[in-house]
Amino acid sequence: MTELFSNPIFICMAIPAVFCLVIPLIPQLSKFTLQKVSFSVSLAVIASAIWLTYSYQPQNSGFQFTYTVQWIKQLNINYSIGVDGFGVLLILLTSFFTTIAIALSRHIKKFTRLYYACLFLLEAATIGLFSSLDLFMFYFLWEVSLPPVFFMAGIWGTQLRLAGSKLFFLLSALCSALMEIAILWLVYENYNLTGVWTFSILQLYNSDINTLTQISLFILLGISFFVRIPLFPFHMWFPAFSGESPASGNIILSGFIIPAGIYGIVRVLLPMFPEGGAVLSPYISFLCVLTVIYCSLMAWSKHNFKKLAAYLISANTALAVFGIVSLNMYAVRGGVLHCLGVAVSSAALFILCGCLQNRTGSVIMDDYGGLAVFMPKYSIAMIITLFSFMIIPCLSGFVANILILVGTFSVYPWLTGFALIGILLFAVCVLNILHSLLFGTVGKKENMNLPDLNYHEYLCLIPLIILMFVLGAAPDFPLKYSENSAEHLMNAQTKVQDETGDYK
Amino acid sequence: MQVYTALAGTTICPFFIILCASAVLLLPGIIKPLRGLQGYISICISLISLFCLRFTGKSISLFNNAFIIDDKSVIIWFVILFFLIVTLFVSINNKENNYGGKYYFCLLTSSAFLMLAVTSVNLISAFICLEIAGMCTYKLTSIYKNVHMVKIVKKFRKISIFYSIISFISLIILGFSYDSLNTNSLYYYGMPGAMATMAFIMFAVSVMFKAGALPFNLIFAGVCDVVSLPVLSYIATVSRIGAIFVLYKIFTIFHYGVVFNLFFVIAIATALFGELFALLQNNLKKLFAYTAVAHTGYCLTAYMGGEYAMSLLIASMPLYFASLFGICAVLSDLKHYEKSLFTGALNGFANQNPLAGLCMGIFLFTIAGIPVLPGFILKFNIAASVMKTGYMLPALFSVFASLISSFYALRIISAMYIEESSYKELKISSSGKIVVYMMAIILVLSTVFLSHMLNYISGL
Repeated sequence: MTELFSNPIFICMAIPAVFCLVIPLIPQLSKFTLQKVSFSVSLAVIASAIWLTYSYQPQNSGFQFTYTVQWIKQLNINYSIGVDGFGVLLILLTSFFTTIAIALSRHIKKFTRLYYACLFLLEAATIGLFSSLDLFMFYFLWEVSLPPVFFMAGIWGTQLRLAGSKLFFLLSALCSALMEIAILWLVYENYNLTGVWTFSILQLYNSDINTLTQISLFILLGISFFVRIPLFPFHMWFPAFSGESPASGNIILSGFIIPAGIYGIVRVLLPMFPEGGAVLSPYISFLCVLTVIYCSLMAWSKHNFKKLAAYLISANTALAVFGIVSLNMYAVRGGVLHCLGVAVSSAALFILCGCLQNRTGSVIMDDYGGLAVFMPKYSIAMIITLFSFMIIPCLSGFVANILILVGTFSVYPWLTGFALIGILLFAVCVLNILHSLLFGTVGKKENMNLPDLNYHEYLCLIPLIILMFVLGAAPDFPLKYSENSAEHLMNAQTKVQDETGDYK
Repeated sequence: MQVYTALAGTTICPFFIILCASAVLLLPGIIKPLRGLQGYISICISLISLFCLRFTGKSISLFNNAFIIDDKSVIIWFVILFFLIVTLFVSINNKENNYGGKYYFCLLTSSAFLMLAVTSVNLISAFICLEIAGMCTYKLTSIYKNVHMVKIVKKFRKISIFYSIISFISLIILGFSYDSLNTNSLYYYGMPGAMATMAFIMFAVSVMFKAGALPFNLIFAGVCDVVSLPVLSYIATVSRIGAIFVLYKIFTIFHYGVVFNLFFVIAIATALFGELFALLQNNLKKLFAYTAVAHTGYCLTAYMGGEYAMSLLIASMPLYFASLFGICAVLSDLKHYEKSLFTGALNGFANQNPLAGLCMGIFLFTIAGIPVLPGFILKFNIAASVMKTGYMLPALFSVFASLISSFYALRIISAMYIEESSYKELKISSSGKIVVYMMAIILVLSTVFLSHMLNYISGL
């Protein structure tokens, strides 16, 4: 037990979990005091996440800080944790984004205790998810995040309320049922083959399930992850949801809820079903490229800034998934890097959306224009953020996009060509946004002379912008950490290729 | 004195205490100074019975092996007695009806015979216990009559009598076919003949009616709609226990074959349609009545999962009961504001009662099987253990049934947190708060100690 309490993953998970339970019991505190206390707790989580990152040794392969304790003996379900490099980076980002979300929560007026409890529950569940080595635990924590995310837009949302969050909940609940079926089926198949009833992810990696079952399981589990990411045609909830959700909800969504879907692909889908992955990889790649093009076009047609941002993020996340599922070493690394970069840039983009909304109450782009004159700091932040999605040197998207395109070209040259068209469409869309928001004519006269970024917003944006530059200028750090995950994926694939004699 | 010592030496002691005392409770009608105190006397008696329970670590046979009392049945007795006490407490504080001796007599007698039914391994004794408990339940539903109630309760009585006759006839047929109707010995006879099988099915169907299984008990939700909330919480929870455990004993006789599969089609249909009907309801009383039906479905599905699933079933009962009692305590207070309890009655409830709203969320999440509450783990575990025994389809259907439940939970939670209330003050009483908070604490504690609880039950 002492070993568990000194495990950095457990500490990262336990701090928000305990605080989530304590919040409802705290006697009436003022909103600002509660925010300050929550902020301090989130800083403690960041500190433990930094300790985890610092203690992790990227040169060592396999999972580190592993710990297993029996949970439900009769079904061999364990509380089993451990991280690889990708998991470490995602845990770090999760703690970071939660802190930013708390910093931006001044506008939350009702059910404040429930709000912070939801935030910390989400943080604890997501950190647990990124370190879970038991499939039941993974599914349990995946499910835990559903109600808080629904509440984010449903209770603390802004306008239409409920349409997007209900759609999210319905789709997610449906996919959860598919995921549960897939998990039970997988465990049952493994039980039939090995005689061992286990939910251990590491043991299930070695399961010798036939190709047809692998394909079926891949589809069932894949749909759940694709809805979260969100890939076309499962993307409908995301623009609707982000249009309703407050800035903090959107940061959480793009910061670690969407990356959780990508993590699912890297941790469960591809290594557990390598043959299924090999068969379905071209179709998923096609779906990703379609998402890139479709979302870029949709973003072009949108006037609602939040929905537009959601489409931009969907397009970029799809590009990251394209890199990962193409199963090329460069592309996988690029995909993982892009996943992190998009999370950072998306958070900044949603903060910038929130800045405008807080000032005028509107997120319709036609209402604005010429912001570069009245809000120079805001404009610079906006330019850097939007450029960080694109292939601009020194920014987070540059190395990631290049790696993805180089890697995928050797596997799917035609699809890479189409993806490039999508990226160009995306670039046009970005320029369009910059033109209409920052340099065009002012849509509404009352939106002239808007105040520039305040100290509070500035503090939230600065670390994100620094991260965009760090990921672009020094990608070696995240690449080194995510190398294990990429190698693990490639090893599983190479094993399949050796068995089938099929070389790409 | 010798008889008393003998009774106290067995674990059946609480049953006798309750039964004798409940008969005495009729006396206040004659002894006027005791009028109005029947509720408190009933609570005292139930508490004494509860404290009399103890684990012996062995099985005790009574009345020529008609009843076998083991530690698992003691746990179920504890559940019955605990929720009987909660029902009594809620009934005393219920301002809607001023319950009298007859009401408390029915509650106590029904619980006593349900406790006996749980331990019954003989079909005849099971029949007698369930019939007496059923009669008391019927009396509970018909104590306070209004015009609409009379109609549906009369219908309920007719159907109950019909099923009682069926089970009586089936017992006569079985009596001619076998030397003993003890389920343990019936198991060793192997597959029964056509006539006996038919009789078994008839008997099982009548027990399923008492458990609230579909399509045999379509009137259950209607009855729940017209009764008061304390009665609803009792008949939707405790009164089903006896039938569920008697059904388990019948299932063990048919451990293979077509009849076995037929039972499970009914189990899945009950879970699936129970949840579906609940989803379609706007009337909260009917909605929660259908969740009870669905819970019966999950319990019957659990029979496929073997010994461990039975532990899950036992663990799921107090958790489901606690949720429903908590919800009924809230609804009972809402009834002062809103006569018809539709989903809209809960609009803005959480705005005005944040802590009670949170507790309602806990109850709904437990019923719907949404994490982190134990309902999720129990439902998943039931599906997994059923899958482990090779029954893939029932496991899949139970997953889908559980999915449906999350939608109505979402609807109610949306109403509580997002919609605006039409009342300026929507307060719940202090007695209501006691029940709500107590039930919520039980659920939170069971979330934390669920694995210990499961290990303990399956170790018995």
